[in-house]
Amino acid sequence: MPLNFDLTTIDAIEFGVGRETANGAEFVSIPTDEDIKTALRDMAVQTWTAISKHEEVAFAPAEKYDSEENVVTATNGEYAGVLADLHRAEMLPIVANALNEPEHIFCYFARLSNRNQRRLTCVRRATQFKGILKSRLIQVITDALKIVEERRSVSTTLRHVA
Amino acid sequence: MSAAQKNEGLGALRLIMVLASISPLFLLWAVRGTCQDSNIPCQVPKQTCLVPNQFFIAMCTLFIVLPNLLLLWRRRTARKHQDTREIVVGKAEDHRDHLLVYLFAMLLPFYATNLTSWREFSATLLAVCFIVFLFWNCNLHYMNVLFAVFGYRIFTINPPDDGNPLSGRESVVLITRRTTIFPGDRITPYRLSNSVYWEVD
Repeated sequence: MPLNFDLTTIDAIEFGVGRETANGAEFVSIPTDEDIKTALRDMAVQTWTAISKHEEVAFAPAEKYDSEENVVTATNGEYAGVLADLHRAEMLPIVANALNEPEHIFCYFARLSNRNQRRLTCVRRATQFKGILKSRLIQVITDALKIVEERRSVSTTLRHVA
Repeated sequence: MSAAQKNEGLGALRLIMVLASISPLFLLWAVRGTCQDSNIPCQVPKQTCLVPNQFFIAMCTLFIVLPNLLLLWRRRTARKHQDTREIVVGKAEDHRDHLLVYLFAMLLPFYATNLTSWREFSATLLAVCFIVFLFWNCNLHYMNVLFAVFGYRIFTINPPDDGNPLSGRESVVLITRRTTIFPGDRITPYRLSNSVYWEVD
């Protein structure tokens, strides 16, 4: 099944996390700068390129799957659940400091919208986040998350703008 | 802290936007000054100033220029970072009448105050601080006469009730040159704060 989403006409990219709160699981949006948006778009393109090489199989909860497979289920089907809600949700709440409590985060996601009013939602299980607040001066003007390179390693982490 | 309990965020920027919104008051004060003519009989009238004119005008100019420059910087930063949000319209209300509230709450009472004694001056500054806090706390930082001057309108947008438990429920304010907004419209403006968005042409 071809992807019914034109990756060349994206006009909005939203980054966010799923996290556990006292009221249960919730999904919130986090403002990001243009570098993170570019990285998210590239990740979406790479992921689609990778999984589209595999043959499409219908999702079955009893099956075991490899780390990279092309598994599909209908968004209005019984297995879509909260992922379908996340895909259709409008105007998710914005919580710029959601990464301050990384232990409560169970996934992160990107929602890409294009000019044809189509939406692509990408979800990934959370591994590690480093939310560090640095310059107070710049935070007056923006609270957008920014990519910074670690000095002692080559890994890239997400930080609040510095 | 859940999204329902979250703080508004960008508190300092919202305060700057409130100060930008009261910049016409500083303009009026700069014109009026804090001087008065002494009317002592048989003497040449002499002007006495509570605060030296040059200093008072410089302070007023600072409060006019700086907050508005920071507001423009915020808009530029939002454009640079593509800090946008897709807004889906459930219900849109044109709130130009809020400018009247602003006029009566802010400009008229403070314009009429006498700034020629320290006691009056201090009381007026305290009253302005209370009003600034209320505007900041009630998220009325979008109230700016300059938006109207440059042809922008202020809409309050309520999201549609789509039955989705994850969809946002909070209304937002949109600054735009559009004259009408219809239910179901999708708009992608720049984010000034979590509750105020600016659609640039």
